[in-house]
Amino acid sequence: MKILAIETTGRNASVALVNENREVWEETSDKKLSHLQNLIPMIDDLLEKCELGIDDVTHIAVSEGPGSFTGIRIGMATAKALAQALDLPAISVPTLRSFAWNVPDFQGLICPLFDARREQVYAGAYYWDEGRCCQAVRDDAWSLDGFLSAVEAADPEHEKEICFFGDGIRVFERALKEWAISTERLSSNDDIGRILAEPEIRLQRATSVAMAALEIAGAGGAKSFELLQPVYLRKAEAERKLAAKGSVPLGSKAATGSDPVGSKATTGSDTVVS
Amino acid sequence: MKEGKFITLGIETSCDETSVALVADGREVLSNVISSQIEVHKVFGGVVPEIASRHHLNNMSSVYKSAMETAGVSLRDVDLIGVTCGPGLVGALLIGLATAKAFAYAAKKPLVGVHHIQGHICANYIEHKELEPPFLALVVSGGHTHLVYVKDYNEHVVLGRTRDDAAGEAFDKVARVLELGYPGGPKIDQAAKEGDPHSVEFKRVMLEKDSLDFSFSGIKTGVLNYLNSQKQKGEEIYVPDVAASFQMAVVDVLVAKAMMAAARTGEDKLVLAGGVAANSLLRTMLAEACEKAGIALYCPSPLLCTDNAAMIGCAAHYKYAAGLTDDMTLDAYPSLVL
Repeated sequence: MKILAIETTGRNASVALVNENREVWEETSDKKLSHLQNLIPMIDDLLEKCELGIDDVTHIAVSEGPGSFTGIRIGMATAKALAQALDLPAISVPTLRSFAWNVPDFQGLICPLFDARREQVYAGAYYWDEGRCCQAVRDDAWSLDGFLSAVEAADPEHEKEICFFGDGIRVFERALKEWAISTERLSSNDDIGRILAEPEIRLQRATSVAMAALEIAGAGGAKSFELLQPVYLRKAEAERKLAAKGSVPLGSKAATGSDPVGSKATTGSDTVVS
Repeated sequence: MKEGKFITLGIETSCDETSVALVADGREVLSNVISSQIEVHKVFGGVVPEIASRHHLNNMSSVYKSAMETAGVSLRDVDLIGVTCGPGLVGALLIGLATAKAFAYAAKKPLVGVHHIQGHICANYIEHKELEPPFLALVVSGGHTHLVYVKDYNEHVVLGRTRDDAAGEAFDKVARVLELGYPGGPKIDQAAKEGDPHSVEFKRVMLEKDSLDFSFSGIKTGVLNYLNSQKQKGEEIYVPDVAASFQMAVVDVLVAKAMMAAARTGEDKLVLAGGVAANSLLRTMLAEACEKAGIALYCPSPLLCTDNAAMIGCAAHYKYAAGLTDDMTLDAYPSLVL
């Protein structure tokens, strides 16, 4: 078994290869180029490092989201096409869940947290129970307060240590500290670093995606590329606005209103939402 | 079927059509599957980039599968992969690009990035097997209005382009104002059939005397102003008249500029391309003007006017034949220049 894992949901893209002996190799991106430019060359470098060809790969795994909408799609489109062209089974890995493999020996609550803008975070919480990855708080687009309340409810007696991951730390560090103090997980003199992952394991990693994929495949979770689905955890903005206005008859002015819709504009209105 | 032919797999996702095609020897279409998102975007009155990107991703593998099955080939039979790399919506483009690159890498095939407008021009090679450059091309679509001198298959001189809205964009915007719905081109074309094209003489914006550039942003304002003044006067507005007059004003400018370009270059072949090339008035008036001037006019059939992957496959074929290929770092270029 040789699983090729793709991780492009965050700022840094990476790819990894894992075999049935849990040996893993990783290649990370050259940040000067976009994920789209980097991805295939990274895969090629990785395989060369492993002295393998693309035809030796047995499974294609991909980090399914949440994360950058554009990043998710680059990984998904590539994974789907590779699996379709090579006729390989695919493995869809929940991005937040993969963080558990950033700290496979940590006994506390693993809380990845991405900045989702509009005062929300994409977040969930996991913990290890005798070598199995278990979910403590569901993956969702939460308000920060809502998520932290859910974390508190998942461990009201503070039996577990807590560790936050993800690019949300940068944005919400102060709020996390205030929460930790108010819930008496930290005292006001404590360093916030006690509840934050070290920088080098703070973000998405293809190695973790590969290890999570190994577990999913072991549980019979590999599937056809046709069943791969991106997990955005949020509707497109235009859909949200439309839903907020209620159902609008076709062609009426209300439907076009102030939505960010161009006609077939040729350039850049497609912003990366997250 | 393969049968010793050179087969190109084309992929197009620059706006709201997911398309995959197989083209043999550059001009023979083995399949050209187009999955349109018009119904999806209708309710928003225009293409929403994020939604378009999501649909491209969802549609791609089944569109590809269907194109391969229709053509009766496998990826092993493919000799070349061509994909639109710009201009267009960046999030939409990258679905086609990521897919094309993964196919090319997995199947060890050469890759060629194609300019969308070059693709539109190439639609005419598919339609007219005898057509060869040099010729003059008028490319009119929702995103583009270009007058191009096509010196050779891969050599383009842009003689004029729009300075603001594309012609198709003006159609969409005016259709919205007239509450005719989306997409505007066919709706206005249809409504105009019942109207008098000279009931309102909207200003034909010709810019400087020698310029082959276009400007269509003013005409939308012209239509709006007319509607407002009619309303203030309490006069009834007959939508087909407005649609017909607007369409006539746009077509007048397009035809006049194309004839100017023909006179200037001395070219006696004119090629029409792009989504607006399906407009019935434009086809009729251009045909009349060309006949009068002794110019041979080439138009693609309506299916090849819309965004489709066969034209991208054709363009890729001729780029590859000239030794042009791309490597795996090929990116999406939303504002790529021809």
